[in-house]
Amino acid sequence: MTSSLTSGSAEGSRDVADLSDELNRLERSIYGLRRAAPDMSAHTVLSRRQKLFGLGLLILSMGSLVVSPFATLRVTIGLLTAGYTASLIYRLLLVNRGLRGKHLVRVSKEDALSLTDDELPIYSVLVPAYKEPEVIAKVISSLTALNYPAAKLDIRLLLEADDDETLTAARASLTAGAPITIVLVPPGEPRTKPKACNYGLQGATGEFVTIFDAEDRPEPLQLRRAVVALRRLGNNVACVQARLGYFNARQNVITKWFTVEYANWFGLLLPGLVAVSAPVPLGGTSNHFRADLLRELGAWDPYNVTEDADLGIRLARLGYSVGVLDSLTEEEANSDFVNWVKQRSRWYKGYLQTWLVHMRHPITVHRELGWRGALGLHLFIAGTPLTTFLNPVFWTLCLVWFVQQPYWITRLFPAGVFYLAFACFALGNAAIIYANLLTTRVMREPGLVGAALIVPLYWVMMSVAAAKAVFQLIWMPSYWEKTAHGLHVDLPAPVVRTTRNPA
Amino acid sequence: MTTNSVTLPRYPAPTHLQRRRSRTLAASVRGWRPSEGLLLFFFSATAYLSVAAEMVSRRVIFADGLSRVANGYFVLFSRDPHLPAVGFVWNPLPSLALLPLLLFRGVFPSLVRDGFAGDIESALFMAGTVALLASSLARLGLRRLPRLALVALFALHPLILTYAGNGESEAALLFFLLLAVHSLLGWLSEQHPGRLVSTGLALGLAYLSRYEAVAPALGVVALVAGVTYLQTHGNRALRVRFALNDVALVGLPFVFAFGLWAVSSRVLVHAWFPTFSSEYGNAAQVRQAAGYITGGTGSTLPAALHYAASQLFGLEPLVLPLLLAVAVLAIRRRDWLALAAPTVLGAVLAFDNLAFLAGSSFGWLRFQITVVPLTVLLCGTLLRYVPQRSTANQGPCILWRAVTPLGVLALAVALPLAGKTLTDHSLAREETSTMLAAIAPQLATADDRRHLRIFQTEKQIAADLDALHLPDSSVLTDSAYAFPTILASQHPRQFVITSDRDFRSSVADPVGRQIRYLLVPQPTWAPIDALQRARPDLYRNGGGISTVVMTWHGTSYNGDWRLLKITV
Repeated sequence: MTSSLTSGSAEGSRDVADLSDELNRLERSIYGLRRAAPDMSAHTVLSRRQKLFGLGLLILSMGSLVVSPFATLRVTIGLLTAGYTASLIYRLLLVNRGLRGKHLVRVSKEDALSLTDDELPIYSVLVPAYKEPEVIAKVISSLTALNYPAAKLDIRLLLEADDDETLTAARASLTAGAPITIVLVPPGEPRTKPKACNYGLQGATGEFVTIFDAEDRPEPLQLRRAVVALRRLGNNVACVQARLGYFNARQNVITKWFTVEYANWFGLLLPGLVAVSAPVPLGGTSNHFRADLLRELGAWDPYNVTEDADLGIRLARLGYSVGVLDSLTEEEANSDFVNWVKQRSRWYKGYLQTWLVHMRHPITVHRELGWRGALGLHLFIAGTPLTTFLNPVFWTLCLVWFVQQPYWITRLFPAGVFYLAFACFALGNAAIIYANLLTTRVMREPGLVGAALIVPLYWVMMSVAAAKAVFQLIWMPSYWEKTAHGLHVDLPAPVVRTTRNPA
Repeated sequence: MTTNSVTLPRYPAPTHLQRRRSRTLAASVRGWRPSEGLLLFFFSATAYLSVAAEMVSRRVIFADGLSRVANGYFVLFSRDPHLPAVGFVWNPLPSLALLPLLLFRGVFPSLVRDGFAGDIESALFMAGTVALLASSLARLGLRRLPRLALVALFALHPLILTYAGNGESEAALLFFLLLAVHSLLGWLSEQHPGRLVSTGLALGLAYLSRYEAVAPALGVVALVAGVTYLQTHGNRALRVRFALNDVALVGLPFVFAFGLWAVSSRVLVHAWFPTFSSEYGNAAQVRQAAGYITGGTGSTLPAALHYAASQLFGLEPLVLPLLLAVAVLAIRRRDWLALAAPTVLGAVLAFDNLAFLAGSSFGWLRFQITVVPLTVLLCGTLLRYVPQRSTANQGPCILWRAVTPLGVLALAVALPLAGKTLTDHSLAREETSTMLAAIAPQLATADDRRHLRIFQTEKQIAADLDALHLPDSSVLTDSAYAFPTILASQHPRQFVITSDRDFRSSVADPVGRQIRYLLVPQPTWAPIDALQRARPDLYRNGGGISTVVMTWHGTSYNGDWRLLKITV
């Protein structure tokens, strides 16, 4: 169901063929990946084997907790400390590798502008929006600011068909002749961004495709740079991820922290992941794909709440790599504590979900990613939410230790583990603060030094979000499953390639 | 600055598509091979280790080096092994770095007994210093021949040779200071923030090796603040913010090391800076030895000044003219690179000499050791200003040809002169006797030769105690004095020592703690022995709780020891 304002087609005249086409598309966008490769989709959080394994582990640990509580706790704390330390060291290693600046893909302004209109491919831009009437006008202005010939642009505003407010706003803002098409996504569950994107992708005509969020302000040359980068990098690189930053960095301390964190993430950590050949979790927007490849690999998983990160891992597993493009898209940083926690807990939940999805066949995954890639999957994708989740536990233990030095802590931490945990506490926290200061310097934002120095307060917020995420994952595992049922239509499964890239 | 101007990173770096190698550094350093540093490290490590092994075979042991080994040894092999046993009076890194080596004590007893582990460590640190010096000279733009000549003048300097294998912490300090100089030179030439990180880490580690590193840390912070402020484009507020960011990067590792060490000391031994407050610390030692110090160095300020100057110029006669020449030329050419070495190494030199003039230092010759790399780097800086190639015919410039060998030769004068200084009993009070007796016995006096018998008594005590086959926790002793005995013993767990968590209660009530013997040094040379501070008559008559069962006579400059058996 495509209503193009430029062509002015009427919406009322839907016939049966249209309806069938629409259902077909919807079917593909919801069930495409799940049918073709059920083990790559998060429609269930845990596979049967994972459930059995988890249950076994639970019974085993409960049993040993009853038989020998202190020994069990000591082993648990030892393992957690080791994992925490490894994750911390890995992160610092990534900062170090990212700092060398070799793995950020740079395309000069001259190179970007040198492509003539004829040399530029058709570029599809997907802009999913849901209940955001207030930003629609802005998105249209920043999209029209893109330096790309209108004839080669295929901008698709993906709106839910029953979201009247946004739809009205969009129609009011669109001027005739703008290369923007409104795509109406049929209402129904799961009402997620990846589902809308999958739906929009099917009609997209571009050779390349990217996603922008409604409030995004991409750098005007970004599409041109992406074209140059993807052509240069060769077919083995499925995607380039542009850097994300915030235009409201100075609004309050939360946005300052968020800005430093993002600069660290996209400027140092992700290039670091590229440098150590680990899978790169894509950011929510501004990832530029080869459209045919994206379709072939199953596009986004509508059941995963961080479908972008998941897609990054899937690309790596299927033998493709991702580049980080030196071009900035500015987003609006979440400036409100409660909203921030909601957004962050979704990300953390999604990371854990992604890790669980890709750990359904651990041996296969290790073979596909290699040990370096697998290390990144464990220490970065699972490590980020889990270390954040563990932080308050260890902080509390440290505090209690300093105040009281109780005997039970001495018993829980054998000397070696104690020193390791202490090193993590003292050295690790200092090193992460220091990495933030390095980030403010590298991104030439010395005004954020103050926020970078008091970033432990931000970690408290992160821990709240991580706790919420873990809680949700444990107590509401069926959350995604439940949303999956409404629109089930029996149609033949689409063909999706899930074998490894031979290149 | 708004977020709109964010670009990342700002320094030129090739992508993995355009594999162009960064030419910024390579272009300025012709002839540099990455393997040069490794080769230099390997050769100097081999040489220094051989010298160290030869010295140990001639029974040369430097007490401070052995005490560093002891601090590491207590962490692993004392009766109460725990990390804080490393002690809080002396900065911990030299002892902690020894831990892996000490694990091999069973295979090579000499590692512990003669402190050879410490010698290995200082040889490796000094070899690393040699490699870093070469790389720093390369960063100054010096070509290979003069670079290697200057490196040789450092590596073969008698004071460097002495401290390259004697287990003391000078080598570790020099290593981290040179690492700071090296990184700072990198930052001054290309302003990559990563260089500030390595500079900052080097200064933090330097502080964990020796507390003198406070001075270069402050110096470097001031330098970085000034350079960033002057070189940033923009308004005053922006320059200040950039300067603050850079200062935070270069200064925080030091602040962290400083804070961590102070807080650990506070938590575990209830003093922020035990080096200054502990009865075993530097301040107390200097107080006790005030007479000895002024006797050797003069009691008035002019005399002390003369003494320090004699040491300094006795090691590197050219340091002052070089410093002046570099200062003039660097200012005329606005050459920031010239500031790296004077800021880092000069600060340590200034700190140590001011401490000495203020009467809070022993004024040992080794406190002047940073003058050696400083002079070499100053000479390298000066040679950097000589045009290396004439503009007319692309061949080496006449001036360069003439001046470079002259400069190197002039510096070479320091070697024989430093040799003379090191054999001067009044200027090198710590080293002369031992080194003369070991290297030139024909020149040594009987008193000098006594220095080679250092710790012979303690080894005998260890053998005698081991022969008693005592159970664990039998012998209470203050390891500040008894550490050579403990290191020489086959059974270190028989000793209850100062770092044990029950030491204080054991000293207060040895009977109740079921101690069987007390090992105490003669109070005349061991005035702060913890056991005798609790019971002043202990050495003379057993303090009413014990009787003397054995006495050993000191064979070296250390005095006698007594073993007391608890009788109550």
